[in-house]
Amino acid sequence: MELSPALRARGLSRRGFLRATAALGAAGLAGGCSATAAPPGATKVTIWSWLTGMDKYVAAFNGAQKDVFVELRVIAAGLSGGYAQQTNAIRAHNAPDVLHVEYQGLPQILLTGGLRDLTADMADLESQYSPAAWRGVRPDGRTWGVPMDLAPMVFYYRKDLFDQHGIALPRTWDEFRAAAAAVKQVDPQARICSFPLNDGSFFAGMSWQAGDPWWTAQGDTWAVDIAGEGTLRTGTFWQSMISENLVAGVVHGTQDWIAGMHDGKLWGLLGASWSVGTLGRSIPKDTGRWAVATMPTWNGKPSNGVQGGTAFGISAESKAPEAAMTFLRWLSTNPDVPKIGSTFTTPFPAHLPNRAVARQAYKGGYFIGDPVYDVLDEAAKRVPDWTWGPNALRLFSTISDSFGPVRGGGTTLPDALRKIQQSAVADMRAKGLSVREGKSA
Amino acid sequence: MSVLAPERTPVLEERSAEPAVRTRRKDFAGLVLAIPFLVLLVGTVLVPVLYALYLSLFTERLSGLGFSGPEHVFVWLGNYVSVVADKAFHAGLGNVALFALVHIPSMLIGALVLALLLDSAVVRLRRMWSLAVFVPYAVPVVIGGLIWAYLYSPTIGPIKNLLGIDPLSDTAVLPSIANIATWQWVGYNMIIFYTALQAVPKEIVEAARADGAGGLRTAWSIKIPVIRPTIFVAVVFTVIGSLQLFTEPMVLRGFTGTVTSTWTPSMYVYEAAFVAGDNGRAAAASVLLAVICAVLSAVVMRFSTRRSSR
Amino acid sequence: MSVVDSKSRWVSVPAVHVILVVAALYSLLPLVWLVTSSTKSLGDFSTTGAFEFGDWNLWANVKALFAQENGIFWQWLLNSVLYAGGGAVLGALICAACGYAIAKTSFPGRKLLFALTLTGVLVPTTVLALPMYLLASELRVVDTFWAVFIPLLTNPFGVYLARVYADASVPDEVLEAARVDGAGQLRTFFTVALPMMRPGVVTVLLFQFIGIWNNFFLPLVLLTDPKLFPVSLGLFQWSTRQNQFPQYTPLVITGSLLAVLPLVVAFLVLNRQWRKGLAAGSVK
Repeated sequence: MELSPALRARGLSRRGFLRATAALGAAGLAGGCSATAAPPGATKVTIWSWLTGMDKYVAAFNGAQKDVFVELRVIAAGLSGGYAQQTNAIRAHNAPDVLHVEYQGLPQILLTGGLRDLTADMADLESQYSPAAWRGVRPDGRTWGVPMDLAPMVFYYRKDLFDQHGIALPRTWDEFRAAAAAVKQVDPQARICSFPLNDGSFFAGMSWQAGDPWWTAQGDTWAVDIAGEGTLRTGTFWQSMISENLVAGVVHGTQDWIAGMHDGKLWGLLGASWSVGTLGRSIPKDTGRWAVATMPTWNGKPSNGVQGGTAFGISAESKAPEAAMTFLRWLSTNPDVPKIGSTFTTPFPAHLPNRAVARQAYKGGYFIGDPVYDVLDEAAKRVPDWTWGPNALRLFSTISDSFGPVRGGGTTLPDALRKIQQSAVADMRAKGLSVREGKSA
Repeated sequence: MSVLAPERTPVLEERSAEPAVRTRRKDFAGLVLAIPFLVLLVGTVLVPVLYALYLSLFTERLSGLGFSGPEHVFVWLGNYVSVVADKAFHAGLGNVALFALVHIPSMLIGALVLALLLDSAVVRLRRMWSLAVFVPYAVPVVIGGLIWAYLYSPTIGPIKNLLGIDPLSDTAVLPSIANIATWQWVGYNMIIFYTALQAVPKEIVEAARADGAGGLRTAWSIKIPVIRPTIFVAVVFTVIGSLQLFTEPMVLRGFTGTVTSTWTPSMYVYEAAFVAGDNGRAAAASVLLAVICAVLSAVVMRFSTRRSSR
Repeated sequence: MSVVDSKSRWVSVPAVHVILVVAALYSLLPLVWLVTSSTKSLGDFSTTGAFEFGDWNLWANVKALFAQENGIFWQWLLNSVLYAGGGAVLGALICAACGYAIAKTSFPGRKLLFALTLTGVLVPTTVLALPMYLLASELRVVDTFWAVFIPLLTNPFGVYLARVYADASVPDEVLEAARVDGAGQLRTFFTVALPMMRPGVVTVLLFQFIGIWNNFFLPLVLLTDPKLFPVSLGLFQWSTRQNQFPQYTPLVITGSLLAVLPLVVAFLVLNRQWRKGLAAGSVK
């Protein structure tokens, strides 16, 4: 905030304090927005987002044309407050023009009735998006959002160690189990990867691959199937990996996890595409050790899960929906955006032509073997049908709560999944939603 | 609920006897002085409490897929019923009860022992010891939680190797959280007890000694009874604090999956309001929590007055 | 009690000191860990012992900390100082005025106000947070300085303390004399009573400062704009990102050290004031 140097210079006398407080408060009341002023005659569009680098995108957009001026407010990420703030803003009728939604959070935001139907505005773009992303913004066949990026899951592994000990890259989950046993045999302290029990979106990504969507919108009814065959198969597989102590339990990204990745105690990571950047930054000394491959499959049938992805919606009460749409189309489809993004992250756009731009801009050098974007592209192509339900966000915390006792032997993944199904159905019915249990008809 | 109908307020009230009324001035200038606080109290306590009560009686009802938006429905005590029946809420209450059982005795006894030691004649460098133990109170709870969370982490922290158990595991996480709170508060309460001990009349202690009473005996039968009211106030504040436990488990949640999103009642309220978006249930749970707080403090106070009047 | 009477010893002198040393180590070692860890780079955590120094990366860590997100850490420190400092000064004055009014004047509703104040002490923050958030949302002040600052001014316990101090330190005769001299009530408060209550008011101020500096729930609920965060909320948010972006770990640790240092120093300097204040707050 531009006030701070002046405040510091003023020192901390009591009077200075109060004056400073008043000044800061006034600035706060004004909204703490970006300082540059809108050009005269431009339509103002407000956006709330927690996307890394959104400030740079907005600045580029505002610099590139004079008709629409976008005002960004950075809000806390997703469940750390972003969703709550947007939901309550919709309820209080003071939502911004553009809202940040992830595919998994879109149906929950839709329950507020606060999003604008974009079916007509977006119809011409269908063929340009990754099918998984396109489906992600159309939970009930109407288009509610503009896709930004998609995060397919892939398998990162220590190719140097795998090669050195003659362990082949596992292509199926059975091979994965055998590889896990081989890793443990080479080094009793080492594991093939970690299974983070406290991350619901991770397990959702694993189940996504198995091909039994947890929710399906059927006419006016939700079919809820969290304990379906594919999900139970996934749960049973990981339960046996945990019971046989073939997989570590550290939370991804913690110091323990990094230490394990760096010290050769973890030989792999099942993770989303955004881990490409994370690995390079957090374990920079490992250049030339890691490789990327698509996820192992069930019996060779190509299929891949997704963990996350961003989209944006327009408020139903927006006074400038056309201008907001202009900005979102630019954000989602203009080739400048992935170019900017590549300077600080490894973007994987939902928009296919832009994905090619991101691939061009990728610097590479960290991974050995197949080019990263080839693997990610292949993974994205393999993503099966999936619909997020209106209680997905809450379900992630239910999953992490219910999986907690698994490691201590208090329950098993399949048992926990059956309970989660029951509580999810009860929760949705209590809200008044129309729910049918089991597979979609 | 005590907030609306102060049936019995804590010890604090006992001192509210009338001051010299004869010099009071019968004018409204006093009101002018009191108004800023009155406005704050109404605006930031009374109105929110009433609003919470109001919210707790409504819920949002959806239909079909839910995409046509919600409808507000008055549900009488429906939200209360669903909170009271919710196993997660019970588990949260159980956790804070266990936490209180571990934290309150260990912290208060620790503080009392340290205060008595400082008060005993033999200790040198009193100020240095008391400062050392008091310093953690200066550390913001979030930061204290983060420091301990790192210390608890199995591979980078030393504690797992030291104790041989994983402090973040299912069974150990509760004492681990209690330890963070104890670390933070033991010095604060030690100073409070130590200061109260200064008020023990020296003559009585001297007389006891002349009668041949040892240090332990003097502490037990003379010093502790004198500071009993102070101890009870500390108990009340610690009980209320324990029921509201939020920050420490919230911080540890980022480090271990064993702390659930509804691990304490306060976290339950936070989850209901800001994750599930269920304001009615959140409001009902928070009102229940306030009632439990009020009842517990009333019980502790009643117990304390009975004990000291005996 | 300066005479060491061998009969009055509880236990042996060495045993007493052993207990004190253990207590001091328990209290201080986590802070020592914070200091040693601030000197480490991300890689050093796994390769060095917990209480060993790293390759002296402290300066690089501090630089990275202040460079992160355009130096937002400065803003957080400043915000904390404004919330806690401004809130404590203003809050203590408001408490002093109200405590004095309850103790020394008679206005209608005085007793009701005091009873409300006492119950206010018992209301958990959790109960207030959600309605306050929704009210702020409706008034469109969510994510503003005032949304956090104003609720934190409210300190019922401070009013209770101020009332006790006013009772104890402002004699009625002095007020009577001021009245005879023709001073109005308000003037009497500011020129006569407030100076007499000063030690007590400073105590309320210190309590409120620590209370606001420590408050986490309210900013967590009411703020999402990082520019308005107090330092503890900022560090918490960074700590939640560690799972996705491990490079935040040294920032969180170094930031914690820098956030704690001024407080610890202030504690050591204000040591005497604290003891007096705590005593006054607890004995009554």
